[in-house]
Amino acid sequence: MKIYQHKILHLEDLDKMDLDFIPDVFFLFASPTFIGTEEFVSKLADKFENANLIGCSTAGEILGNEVMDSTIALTAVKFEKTKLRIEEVDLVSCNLDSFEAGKAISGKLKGPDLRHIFVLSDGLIVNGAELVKGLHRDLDKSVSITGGLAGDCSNFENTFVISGNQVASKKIVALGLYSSELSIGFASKGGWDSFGIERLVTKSTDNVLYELDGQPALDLYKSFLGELAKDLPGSGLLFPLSMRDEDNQIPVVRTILSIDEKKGSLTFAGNIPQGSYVRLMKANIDRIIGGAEQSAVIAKNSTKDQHQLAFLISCVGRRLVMKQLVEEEVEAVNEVFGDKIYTTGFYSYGEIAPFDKFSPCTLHNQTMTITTFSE
Amino acid sequence: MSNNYHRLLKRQLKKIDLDDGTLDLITPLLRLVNDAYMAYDRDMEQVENVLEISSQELFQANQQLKNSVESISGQLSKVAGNIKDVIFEMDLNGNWSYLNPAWRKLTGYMVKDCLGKPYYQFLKDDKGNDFKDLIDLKTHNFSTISKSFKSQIITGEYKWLDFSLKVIMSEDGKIEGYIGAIVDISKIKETELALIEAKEKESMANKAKDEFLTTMSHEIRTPLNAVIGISHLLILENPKMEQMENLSTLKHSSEHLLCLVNDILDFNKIASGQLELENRDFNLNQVLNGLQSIFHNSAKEKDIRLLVKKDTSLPKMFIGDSTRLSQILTNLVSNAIKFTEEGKVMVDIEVLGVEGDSYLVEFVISDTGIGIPEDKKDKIFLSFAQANSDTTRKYGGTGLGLAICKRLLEIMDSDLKLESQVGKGSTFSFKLKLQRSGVTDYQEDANAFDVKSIHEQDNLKGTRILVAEDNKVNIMVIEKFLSKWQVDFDIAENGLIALNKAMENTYDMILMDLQMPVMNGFEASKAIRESNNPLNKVMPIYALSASTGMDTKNQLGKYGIDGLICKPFNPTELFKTLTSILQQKYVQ
Repeated sequence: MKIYQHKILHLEDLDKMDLDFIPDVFFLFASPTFIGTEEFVSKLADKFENANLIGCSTAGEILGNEVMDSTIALTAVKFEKTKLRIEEVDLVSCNLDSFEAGKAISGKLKGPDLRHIFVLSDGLIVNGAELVKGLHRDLDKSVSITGGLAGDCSNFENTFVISGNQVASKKIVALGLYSSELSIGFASKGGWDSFGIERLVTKSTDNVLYELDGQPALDLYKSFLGELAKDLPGSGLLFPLSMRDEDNQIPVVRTILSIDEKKGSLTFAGNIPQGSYVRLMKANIDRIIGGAEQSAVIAKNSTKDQHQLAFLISCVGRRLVMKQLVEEEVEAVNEVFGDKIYTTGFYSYGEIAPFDKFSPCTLHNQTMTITTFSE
Repeated sequence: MSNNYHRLLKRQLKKIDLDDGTLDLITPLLRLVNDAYMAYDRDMEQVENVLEISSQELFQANQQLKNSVESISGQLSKVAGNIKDVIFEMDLNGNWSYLNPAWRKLTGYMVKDCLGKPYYQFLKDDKGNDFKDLIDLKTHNFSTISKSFKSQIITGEYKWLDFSLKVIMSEDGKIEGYIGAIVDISKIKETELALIEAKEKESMANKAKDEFLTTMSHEIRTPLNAVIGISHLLILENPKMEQMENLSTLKHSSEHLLCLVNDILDFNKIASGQLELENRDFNLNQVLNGLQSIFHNSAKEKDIRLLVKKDTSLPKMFIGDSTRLSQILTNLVSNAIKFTEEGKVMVDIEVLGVEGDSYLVEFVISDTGIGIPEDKKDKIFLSFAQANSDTTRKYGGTGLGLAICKRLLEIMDSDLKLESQVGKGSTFSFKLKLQRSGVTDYQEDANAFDVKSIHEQDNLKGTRILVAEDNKVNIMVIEKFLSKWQVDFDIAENGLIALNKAMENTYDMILMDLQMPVMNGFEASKAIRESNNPLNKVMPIYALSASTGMDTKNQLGKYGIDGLICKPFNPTELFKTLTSILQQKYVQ
């Protein structure tokens, strides 16, 4: 496997790249504040006609030990024993049905030797949990799935994905990796703590939460946010929910995507079923960093091979908590893997991965989700 | 220095008092520090807010819990206080840890005086000793205990208590104590004991009644035997016309009396649940032929046609109780003839269904008689009841017949049905599930007698029969018949004489009364079977007895007796039976 990484600060940096191999694929994690993303993508596609381009918008780009804003984190990879295929699905053409979109993508990618699907999705109108269910539906259990939902700083206004030479919203793009010799590692850990009383979800529809213990959910959130209530939905990232129900005996974390003042409702990145139990969560910087490290240890130990390339998809909520200390978690991960690994990734609106290699893939929030490849 | 800096940073910069050049140099650092301070403040404020709201919520939740605990324990203590039975909790050492107010009402002890003290100080056995072994406190080898016992209370009175106890387990499976209840069952116990006593009395009374009936029936049957036998004999001896009428009345009356005795005995047996059904191979044709032969004459006398119709698919041999089936049919046909002045009485037997060897057979007995009014239809099945009070006067009968038929059919899992129209006739019907028998009946043809002429036949001529009988009248009756049938017979007045005669002479069969002085029929039969004469081992010995119970029948085999002929006997039946026994003997 050959890997080349470049931090793109300006459109012109395209010409400064000096690759000594012809890449199969470019992974592009682009800030919404980078000027000229579309032009860059189009020029890059022109320049490397045979390469696949896959990427998305972020709430922060990760490259090496650095967490950046207003850049494109570019990683070019040439796989030696792995074939690649990129497929995309338009959410609008699926009537915004995330389950159907997921099913369509894995249907398109299905084939002999398919080992892994790396999926990047629009981060606002998608229901991540349904997307994961759809991806799984007709897929053999030996195929692993990881990825994330695109970010938009902490603005929650517009996200996009990069697929081929296109930059578009309301789309899902996925990379299929076909190989008998690719080894894949993954893990997902948070480090958040639940606090306060356990609350019963008394009214909800899919990922829209209306009432907790018979009280309007939005009022409860606002009371906990205090002064920060005016910054919703962004400030809602400080209060993810830990949710357990019949499907999720291990509690999963859910973060807020948007709010509806009129209906008093909150929309989450994943389903909050009626009858499930939720607790508010709080962050502690040390434990968050510890969570990232733990995630790296699990990913590292999930395969014996020397890891060559790692994708770090971390939640925007973590970044808001860590602020100036955000790089600490990236460094903690890199320390676990050692210096022979190339690292990239982004701060996302949702992470997709199994907890470990023994559990099914689910949508996470507030985690550091790691995927590693080696051949 | 920026005035927007965090006040802590401003304070720190003031203290350190840097020159403007240095300040400019470190401005980017100062900005970061300032951001961090500001963010820290906001975070602190946020955390305080969260803490405050969380505390409020927890406080409220705690209040709610307290309230509900109070209201639940209030409800529970109300329930426990008003319950009639004692509810208790006990620690591992058997000391009361809770007792509800019912404890005081039951035992007289104050609850507060008992708490913390061992249970056995308050529960004493009927000798006043502590009930220490009620619970095995050392091994805990139980999960629940339920015992009833008599215990002394504070006043010295005794009460019957139902004591139940259950182990209280902690979540990790350790025994924490016991919970249980004590119920005062003194009243129930008293009732139970009274019931047992009453039951015993009742069964004693029943036994006495049964014994009385059995003895009575035996005592009545013996003289009846003589009356019936002699009336038969007199009729056969060509009496004058005016004598004939008296003799007929005598004969019918004696037969009616016998019928009455039999019915009362049967009814008593059914009512006391003693009736056992036989399950033997029998020939249905024989039962029907018997029916015809019994009623041939009485039907003819009234100029009524008696018809028996059989389904062609009806097998000859079944398994069941032919005696009881015969009894039912006889009763129903007898009634039909009795209440019919002109027309016919028909017995129709139809196979309704076959399943393997199991036949569903319907018996329909219809007549063209007086019929039964609608409002009397239920009443006639009651014991000692007839449709009209003057029926007995006009038609005779005991009023037990139909009740017996109905009860017998109920025992056979069937039911007696009735359709009737006043003035047009009655139809009684019942269905029986009968098992077909695999046995073929070789006796059937041999048993076909010409009923009318049996007294003229010489089947028994010259046969040697020993009759053991102690009753003089009975001896006279049987002597007369046997002589008439030209039988060569000896009479033995008791069992011992019978035994001696059997040793000395050779007989074709022995008729043995069972109750005789000196040596009874059972002993005599046994001795005869065990005697040296080899012919005595195979010679038929039949009991001739008024005891007809199943007990007697079951005992016969043990003493080497081949069968039972009931007294009083119908001479025709006796003739047929003797002929059949002797023919079988020769067949063998």
